[in-house]
Amino acid sequence: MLDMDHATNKNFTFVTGRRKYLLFTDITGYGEITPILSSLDEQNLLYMVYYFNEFSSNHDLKTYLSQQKMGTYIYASGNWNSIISFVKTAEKAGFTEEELQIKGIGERILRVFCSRCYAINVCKTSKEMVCQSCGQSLSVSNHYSRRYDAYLGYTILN
Amino acid sequence: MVYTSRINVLVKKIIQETPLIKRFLLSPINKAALPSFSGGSHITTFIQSSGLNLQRSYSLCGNPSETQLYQIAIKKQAHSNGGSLYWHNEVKEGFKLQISYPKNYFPLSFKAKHHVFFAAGIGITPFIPMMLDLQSNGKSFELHYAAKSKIDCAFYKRINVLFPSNIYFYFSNEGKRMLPEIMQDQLIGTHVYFCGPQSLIKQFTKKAIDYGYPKTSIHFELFSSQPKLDAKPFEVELHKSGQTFYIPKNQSLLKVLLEAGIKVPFSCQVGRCGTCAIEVLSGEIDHQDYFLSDKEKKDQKTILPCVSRCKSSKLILDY
Repeated sequence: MLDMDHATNKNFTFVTGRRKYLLFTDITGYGEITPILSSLDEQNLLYMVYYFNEFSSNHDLKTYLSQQKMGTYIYASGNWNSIISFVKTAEKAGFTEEELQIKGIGERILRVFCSRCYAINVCKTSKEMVCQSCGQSLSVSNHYSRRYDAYLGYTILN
Repeated sequence: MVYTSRINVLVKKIIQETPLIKRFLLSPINKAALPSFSGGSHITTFIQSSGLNLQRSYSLCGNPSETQLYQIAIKKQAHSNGGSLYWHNEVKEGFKLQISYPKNYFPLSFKAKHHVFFAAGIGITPFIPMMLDLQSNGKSFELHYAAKSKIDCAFYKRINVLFPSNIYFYFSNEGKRMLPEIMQDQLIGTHVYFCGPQSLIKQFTKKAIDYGYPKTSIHFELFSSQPKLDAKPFEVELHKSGQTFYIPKNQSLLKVLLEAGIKVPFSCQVGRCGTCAIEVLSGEIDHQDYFLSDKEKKDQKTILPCVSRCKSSKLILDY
């Protein structure tokens, strides 16, 4: 799984030098892409805008993304659930952190790896949590494991 | 060198691949097997003979799963500094030498959905084990290989046998040219790899960036650094010892420091690995390496003395 923190910016940064831009969004995220739309219009660059729900399935989305050529760049903004699902599909199609930027809106569900018992916990965005498997208090770090698709939870020593 | 351990080998067999290219099969001495390696790896060969001290790096071009033999191919260079001439004229079957452990500055991308290789001449060598790796893992790839003619095309038969599909040859005597436009319509997830003369690497890299390839999807192999034509001499001061050195226009900073007995760790000597990086306290660096990021180059705090030089008259190193 791509490191989403790597592709996440507080505000989108306009990346030049690409041949085609794809913008994916939903109602909550549309405002985030408007500055990018303006830049693309100003520079007369090729782009397409899609709502996430225009694709009937992840399979259709993957098929579409897989047909894109090198030099395609993606901006995606919307609620975190849509973003996480989208990024997984984009990665399967071949996109990397260097070829997309994302902006999640609202609450994000994180997977956290317990460094004590190695269980994967699911939690809402927070700095600290209690491991649901062993009861250990954990500090949620920003160290992301592609293998586990999870952030490392450091044990909090009292 | 950082890694000083060496392996004793002997030249078991020499095969004339083309009029100018020989393939050398190296087998271990007093050792059951050689270390396994990954596609894209190279070894450094060390030859010490009648006052000669040759140290040259060559890509491994055999099968990565073969640990009884290493294979390297060497082209007899018209303007050889001694390395290729010695290998071609003096090295015979049974010749003993030392080699380094394999190192890989040119690995395959694990992320790529499709790998596209561009080889010119002897630049084919690293791609053979890379393609064998990919083939054994069922991965997608294609090779574009330019040579003067079929006769000058090293491994022509072997490549055709090993990789029956997705191989494209460009022989200039038949009027065929390998063009960077091949990269234009590649699908997302493609990684490109270049090996050949520096001019080809520069041309193809620039074109790939123009097409919108991220830098992380572009890979290339260098075994020699192109001398900077407009290089100027400069002065270097080592802050900790206070020693100063004059760097002539035709010598690298690394070479001057090593010859003065300064123990700077180094490895590739072509600005790829970053082993020799030294912090710079003042002076304007003329970056010539392929290791530091754009930001690191802009920061002007680190120099790779194997290739980089100085834009101002003096550098002060934190050394």
